[in-house]
Amino acid sequence: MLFNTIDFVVFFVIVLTAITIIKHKKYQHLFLLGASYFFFYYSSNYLIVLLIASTILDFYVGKEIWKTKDITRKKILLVVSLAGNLGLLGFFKYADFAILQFNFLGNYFDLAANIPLLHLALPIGISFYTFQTISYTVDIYRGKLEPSKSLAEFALFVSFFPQLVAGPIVRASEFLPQLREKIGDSKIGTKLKLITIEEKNLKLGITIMAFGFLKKMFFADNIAPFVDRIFELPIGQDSLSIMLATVAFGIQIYADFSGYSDIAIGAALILGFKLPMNFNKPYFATSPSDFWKRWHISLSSWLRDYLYIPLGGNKKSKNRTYLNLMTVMFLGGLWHGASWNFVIWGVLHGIYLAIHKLVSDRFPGVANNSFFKSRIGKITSIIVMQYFVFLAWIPFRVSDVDHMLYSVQKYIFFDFQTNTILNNIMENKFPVVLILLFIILHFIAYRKNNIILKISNFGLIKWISVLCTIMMLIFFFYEGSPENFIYFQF
Amino acid sequence: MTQNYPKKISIVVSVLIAFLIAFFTLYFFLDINSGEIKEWENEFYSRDFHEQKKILILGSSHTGHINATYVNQYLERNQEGYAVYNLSIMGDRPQQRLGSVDKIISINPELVIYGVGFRDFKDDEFRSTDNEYENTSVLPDPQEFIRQIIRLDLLSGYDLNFFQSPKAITLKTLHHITQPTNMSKKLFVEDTPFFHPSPKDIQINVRNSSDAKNLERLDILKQFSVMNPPEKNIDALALKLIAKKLYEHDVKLVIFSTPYNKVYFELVPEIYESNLNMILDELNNDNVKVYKLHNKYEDSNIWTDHNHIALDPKITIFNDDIIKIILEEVN
Repeated sequence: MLFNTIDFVVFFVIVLTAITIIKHKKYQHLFLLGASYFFFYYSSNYLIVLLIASTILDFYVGKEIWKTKDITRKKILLVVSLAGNLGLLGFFKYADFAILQFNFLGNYFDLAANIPLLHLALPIGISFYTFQTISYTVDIYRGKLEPSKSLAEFALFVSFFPQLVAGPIVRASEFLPQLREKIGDSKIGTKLKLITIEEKNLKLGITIMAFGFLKKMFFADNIAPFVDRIFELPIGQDSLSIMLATVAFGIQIYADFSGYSDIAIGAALILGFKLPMNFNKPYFATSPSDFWKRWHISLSSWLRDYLYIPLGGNKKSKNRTYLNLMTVMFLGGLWHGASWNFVIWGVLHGIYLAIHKLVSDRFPGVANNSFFKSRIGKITSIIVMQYFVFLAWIPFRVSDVDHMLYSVQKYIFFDFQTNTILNNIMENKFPVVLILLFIILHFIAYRKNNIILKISNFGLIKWISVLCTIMMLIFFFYEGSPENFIYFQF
Repeated sequence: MTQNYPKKISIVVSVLIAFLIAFFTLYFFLDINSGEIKEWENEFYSRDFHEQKKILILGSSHTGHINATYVNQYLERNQEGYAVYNLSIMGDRPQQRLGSVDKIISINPELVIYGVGFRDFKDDEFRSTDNEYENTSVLPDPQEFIRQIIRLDLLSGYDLNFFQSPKAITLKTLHHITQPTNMSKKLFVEDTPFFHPSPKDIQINVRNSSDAKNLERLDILKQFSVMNPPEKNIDALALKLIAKKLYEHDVKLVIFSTPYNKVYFELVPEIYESNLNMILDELNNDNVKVYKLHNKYEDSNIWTDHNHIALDPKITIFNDDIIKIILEEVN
């Protein structure tokens, strides 16, 4: 079920109404679980079996890992969980990609390899919920988390509808305690929590959701046609056009994905659940490591905790650290999709991180240089960093190799031509205006912290005006059919 | 918690107020600014047509590219005594046309020729990135269940397409505010009253080259979220209702499928063509004569884009075929 459809609005209103009516804690939780499964089943039909299978597997494996004292048995159980989850993910997401590479290599070496493709339907959200369940069993294995006592609670953690399809990737240690009443300083209480819709959460949640819808439906969906138009056939476009389209795509994907995250966070908050922040003004990052503390935070922190650190992190040799960074980002790129263009995107970010680490190691004084502490130094850092971030968006967006190489070449080697840019601007005035407007708003949001919180504290008349403006912008510029979220394909 | 209730209710009421203000502002805006076609329709249908034997061509921009003047001149030369009006409307679909079928009946045409194609039957709703499982699943589809309920709205006479594309109307209105012109009046053609082509519709733009293929691919693919088979297709149902209404008032209806170029067929999933054929065949079984033109000119160099034949006066092949259909049906 897409957030930006009337179906979701109706569904969410029904859920809120039912949660308010049901007074029994246990039934409230069961209802929320049922609603989450319905949310998934609504658009994914029988693929819900995979979600349930992953849930059951990790619930029981998690319990067994916790119970056993035998380290070898613990390890075997962890491997079972990892194999189950990664097996599901690998089979449904990467099987055809692997077959394609196998056939390509087979033909290259004259082995006449021609394995037919499986053409499997990609289960929506599989990359997200498998990562959640993996983090659950790994945390239990590490002794950092006590397993959930109830299958229903664990199932709700895996399938909680606001974040089920495209995150944020929530840790069990963050979510499970929220299902229980807090008693004193204890992290997890024994009694189930009564889900209540609090006034403060309701107003803040609605405000966050409204801004999420604005980002997705007003900005992302209206900038998308311009991006599509340029990158569908970039050959012949001048450097300025490629750069403008690259910036447009950077804004589109940010507005699209952070819009989704905002709607998820807002919807969860209304129900009384706090989901982790997923974005923090990423286009104001001053370095690669800063960027990954601001972009898709729940994924980058997951990769750090469950991949980078187990690989040795920065605790081994320097060369090993660089290799770890590259490996993590390579896999992070592949996580986005079974395609080489995502791998290139990941590797590029791996290179950025490794080079940044290398420079920081070799020249430790650079970071403390007065220039980088100054205002102009910070602005320079942001511009340089974003130049590279946007460069990496080209392979992410353009999958055709010739088109990608052409676009990258035009982006890097400025051609000082204006053959197509004027025409592109004249034919796409509205998206271009939106790009400028978004940059201004992004800057305002950067300068004024907690702007959404401040808006949610407005008096009712002022608050209604803000909501009304957002709704009008969405309604008046609605194309006629809901556009998919980019991250649904991952 | 109970003390919170009034505040919570005031928040909910605030959201409702904001929604109602935004919704009705949009409603009145659309009502005022999308009224151009309605105005032209009122003007056209209020004329005195009693002396004339009329043939009406219905459809979207695809049929809008039929040159009614050329067709009329041919019929006049052959003293057929018919006046042809091309009543195509940009972006028209059977659901929309169902709303004006009574007006069509009111002017008592001899023949109605309705051109339909892939876009007339596409489903705007996004369903999923891959629908393969839907055909194989043994579990019920809740979306289909809801669609069946909403389908009843079709019969209640509401204009389901009123909110079809607010963006197009908003941008058009903004454009008129910043650059006021009177272009539409200038391009007004007596026998094609509701469709006003732009100058670029005259040129041949698409040749069957790889460049054309790339340029068109996006537009073509964007049109296809889903195209449902006849039993699930709300526009196919609307078209059947139109056919039924016309039949009840003794108005002869023939349907033709609008033409597309080769690039289009190379890119469109085969299932869509088979669904289109199934819809047309069902209509044929309901005693509506159907002419399939959708792949007749696919190799010809006559296209202004992938699914519109250029209005260049030298290109007559499509108009000639429409004349043949008319002559076959009226004689």
